[in-house]
Amino acid sequence: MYYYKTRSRCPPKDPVSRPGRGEKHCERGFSMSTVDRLRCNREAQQIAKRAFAEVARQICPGMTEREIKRRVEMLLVQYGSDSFWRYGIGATVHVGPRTTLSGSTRTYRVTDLAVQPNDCVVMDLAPSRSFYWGDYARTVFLEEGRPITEPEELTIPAFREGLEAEIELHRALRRVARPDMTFAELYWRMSEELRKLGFENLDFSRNLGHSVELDAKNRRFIDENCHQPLSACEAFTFEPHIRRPTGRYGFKREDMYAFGKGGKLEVL
Amino acid sequence: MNIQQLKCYTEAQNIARRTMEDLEQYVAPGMSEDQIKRQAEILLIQNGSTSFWYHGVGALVHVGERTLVSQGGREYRSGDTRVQETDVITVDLAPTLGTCWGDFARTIFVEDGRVVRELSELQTPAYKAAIEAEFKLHSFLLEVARPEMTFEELYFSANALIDGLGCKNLDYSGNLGHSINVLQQDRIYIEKGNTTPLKDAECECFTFEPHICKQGGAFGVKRENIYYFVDGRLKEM
Repeated sequence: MYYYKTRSRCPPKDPVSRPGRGEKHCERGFSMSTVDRLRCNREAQQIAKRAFAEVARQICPGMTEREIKRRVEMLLVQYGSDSFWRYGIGATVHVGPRTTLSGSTRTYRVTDLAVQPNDCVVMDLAPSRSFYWGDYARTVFLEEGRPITEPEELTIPAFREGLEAEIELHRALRRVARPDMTFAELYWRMSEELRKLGFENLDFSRNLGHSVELDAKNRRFIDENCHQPLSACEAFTFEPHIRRPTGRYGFKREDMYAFGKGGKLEVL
Repeated sequence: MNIQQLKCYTEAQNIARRTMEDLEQYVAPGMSEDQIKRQAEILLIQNGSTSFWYHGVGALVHVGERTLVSQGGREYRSGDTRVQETDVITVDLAPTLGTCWGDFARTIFVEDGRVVRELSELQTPAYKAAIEAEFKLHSFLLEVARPEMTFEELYFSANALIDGLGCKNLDYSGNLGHSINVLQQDRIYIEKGNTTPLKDAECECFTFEPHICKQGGAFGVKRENIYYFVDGRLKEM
């Protein structure tokens, strides 16, 4: 349940060719401790962060959703993702008005919609390290053709407010979340924050995140129906997908969290 | 299978085929299994794959003695085994185009430091014998398969031929291929006990992928294609 910082890397991936070296293996989680598992999750997150940062810099007007997806998935593999855990898809990418769309990744189909000079791109990445997930989403904003990811650089009010609201929601999460709090309690607290900020939840099933598992079918969601404590999972994601009630664009920001020493929430 | 479906599956399979051709140009002695897997997956994406249908893994790559290993996608871990000057590499690709799967496996042979792309030019007798057995199995399939034949009948007759060729079926679950489905859990296999006629496979197509080695051999080979019926005769996709 608790996460401790460590410098060692993910256990080796190849039990068949490298037996008997006394090393632990990422083998379906059975032989691994929580610390090892979270280390793999953290490595997968680093892969996602690196791939996102590189592609975010490359986005320019005229680039299509398909091209962005392709570039970021290639980088996920290049940086060490050994599988894509969400229905085999490494990245869902939505451009412009499609940023308000929400649905199961199973039904996701990439399009050839091109980025405009003033636009938004939402990317949600799903790499794995030895089947341990990364899950990371960000919104890239374009102003006069320039990609921007930091709020202080944004001049279009709607964009700036959207990104600031996302950052504030994550700040609120770190303020209120405790290991004994239930997923449902967290859902209500964060939904209230969201409402106070003047945004609505776009998620197709109304949730705000989920537990991190080895099997997607076992996910528990931050929604009104899950009454388990947050400490029942080793890590969880928080990913509000929001917009202004009359807004044209949707915004998303996702990080993976685990409770550290003293029940303090840490970003993986 | 309607024309649109056939077009979509064929394109998914062509993504895999192009990737294999690109990969054959890339592979060289000294490369690790992990490096080849990664390159294969990058090439799949570059060539248009929109997802990897096999447990999120786009390419299962085995090098050298590890070509004898058979395991499911959830168990697979690419390793740091490196390609030798003369070596064998099996590559099994799982691209997707929308909801259509590709499924394509080949064995890459390296002799004296270079990939032998024309299999008729192979010099190592053991390599020649193993890949010839694969060709014989696929030719046998084209010859005997009929729409009414069951998956089990195909399983028994192909396994008898594997024995007759002095080979061993290495597949971890003993099967020789499977149906192509939109949902992975709906797959049915060329295995004992499956009395479904070949023509009743969802999407009316299936893979044939004997993973074999010569009895006592030090390496395995694999060759996989998708097949479908046209006017009662089997055709390679």
